[in-house]
Amino acid sequence: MDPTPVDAVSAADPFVPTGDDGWQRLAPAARTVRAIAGAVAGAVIAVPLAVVVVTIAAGGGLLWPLLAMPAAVVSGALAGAWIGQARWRRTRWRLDAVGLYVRRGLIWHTEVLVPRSRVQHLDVERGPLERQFGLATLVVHTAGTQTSALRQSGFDEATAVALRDALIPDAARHADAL
Amino acid sequence: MPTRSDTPGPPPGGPQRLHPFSWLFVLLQQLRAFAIPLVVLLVTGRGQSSEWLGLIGVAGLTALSVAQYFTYRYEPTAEGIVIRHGILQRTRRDIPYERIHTVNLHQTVLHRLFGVAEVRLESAGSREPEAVMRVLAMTEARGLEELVRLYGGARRPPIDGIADRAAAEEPAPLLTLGPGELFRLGLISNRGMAVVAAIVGLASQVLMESQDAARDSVAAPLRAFYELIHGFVAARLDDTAALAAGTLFVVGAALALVRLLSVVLAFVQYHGFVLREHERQLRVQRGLLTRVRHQLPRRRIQAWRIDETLLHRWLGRQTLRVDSAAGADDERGIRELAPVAPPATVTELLARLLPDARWPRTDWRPVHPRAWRRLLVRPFAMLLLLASAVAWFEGLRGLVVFVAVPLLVLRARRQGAFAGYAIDDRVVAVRSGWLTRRWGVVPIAKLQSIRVTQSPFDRRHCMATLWLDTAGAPAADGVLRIRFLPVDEARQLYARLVDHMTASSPLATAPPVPAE
Repeated sequence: MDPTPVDAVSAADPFVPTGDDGWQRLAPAARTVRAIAGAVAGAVIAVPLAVVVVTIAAGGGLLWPLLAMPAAVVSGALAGAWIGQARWRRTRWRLDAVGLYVRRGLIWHTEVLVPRSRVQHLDVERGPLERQFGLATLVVHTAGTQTSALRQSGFDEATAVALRDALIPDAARHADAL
Repeated sequence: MPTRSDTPGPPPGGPQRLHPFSWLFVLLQQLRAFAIPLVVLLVTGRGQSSEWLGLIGVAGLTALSVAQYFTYRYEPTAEGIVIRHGILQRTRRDIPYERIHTVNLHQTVLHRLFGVAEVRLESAGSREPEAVMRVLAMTEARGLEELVRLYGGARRPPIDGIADRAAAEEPAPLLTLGPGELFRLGLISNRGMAVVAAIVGLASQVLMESQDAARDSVAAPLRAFYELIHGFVAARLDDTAALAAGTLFVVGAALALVRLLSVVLAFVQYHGFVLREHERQLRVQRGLLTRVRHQLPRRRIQAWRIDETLLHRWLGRQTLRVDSAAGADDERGIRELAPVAPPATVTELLARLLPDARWPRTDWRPVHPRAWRRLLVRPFAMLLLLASAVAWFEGLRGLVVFVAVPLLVLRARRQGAFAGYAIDDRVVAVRSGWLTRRWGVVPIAKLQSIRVTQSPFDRRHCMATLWLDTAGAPAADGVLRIRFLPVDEARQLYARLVDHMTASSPLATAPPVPAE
């Protein structure tokens, strides 16, 4: 676990900066969701890998596959879960007068800024697993090519909605930089 | 050519129909979709009933086209263009003038015989044109173009003033391409290859569709040709010199043929190329047989790109292209402001159309001094793969591949030295390449988002990549980016761009700021 856990974003006032410079973590529940999703993905990937390895290495016999398959599934799930929660830990976001910043990536680090003035429209999505944990995914659409949609999962539902409301394009804005 | 006096008066002119012959063009358009199956059907000639089926189909399509003509109305209003269409399901579409990014006039030879044009109105980001008017009389098409030009701007002219303005002469061209330039364009461009690929694709499609009948008749001569070549080569395989000469001849002839094709294509596509600026609207017209005419407001241009391949350099030319949010391909908008032009002309054009670019810039800043080492990684990996593959078959002789190493080092060094960027309060410029050089210029106000990324390799060298995302960057060119920036510089640049981006955006109301 992380030595300095950052407080959860309170639903009443989601924009209280909790970090040193306003960078905030995703919802704590998202860590569980990420870990579950990672575990499932890891287990699914591990099965065919284990089949290939076992057929090459063991070359017949029934005992080895019987032992190896559960081991592969468990270790795949563990690795996936660890990666999932590590990605959660790496992800930070910040909203200020300029726009929405997101930092993420375990190996390939990325920081994206979508300025408020460039937001075209916004979606809040809730998947089945997310609904169970009261989470939501925020999708910020811009007119850009690469970041035509900045998609970030793992927000509290209230935070996602508050972010959406805060980022809604100004109706009086005519210059959309296009 | 219509005279300028027949442009329309004030816009509220009531609902209007398309050209009376428009059903013919709609029909042709629909028939084109069935062209290949139809040809295959005729070639293979299977059964008598198929002809009847075809006839019934054509009759049905004709009826549909005529019905479409009678149900399609467009109406220029003071706010925008209203289009009502549909036979059973009626559709009404309002297109405000300020949403129309480009107006495209498309004229095939047949269109020109009838004096009509297909008009497409494009808005930002949509995959399909906002409206396709198939077809309008040329005078009306020009009138519509004028209307969008006059009403699309921020300031709307008084309606009674339109006639005078529209009656003004077309301004002097900024760029025209004579036969010499078209010839150069053909030499430089690789359009011939595209045609070869298209022919191969079409041939394979035809072969696939007509399994038995056509394959033998088409493939037999090909096979005979292959046998002939094969026999010729096999007989002289021991004579290395003859083989080399033969190969050289065949490859040279093929290359020459492709270039010839490219030149022919350049003449067909770019004959009569004219670039004009008409009160902040750019207009491009070109084409020998099919004539296209695009109109794009200058302020809609998202990014500017200059390309210079080795062939460009040998011929002393450059290509100036622009990205626009509407229609990322040639067919649907202006892509090339100068398909081929001397660097001085490109500089002049940029100075006129984007004074902020301050082109040619002298304030290029280099990227990380170790960038060239990063540029070596991928070629070296490829080289190792190649060497091991060759060594697998040829033994130690595979090591010959490594003579390419100095060349790769030279390439990486030159690329690293040329790569750079320039920034001021209004634009960012990026350059890269060695044999093929590319420049990109983006007004900071046009940036949509900024992204900084660090791969594991970047982190080891303390570098970062800055991505400058704009609307309408075509897939082939990609989003402009500055690679191999020293990480501190990347941070500074990022902060600076953020400042300028928000400063240039007209954010009237104060956004909710995090409470301290």
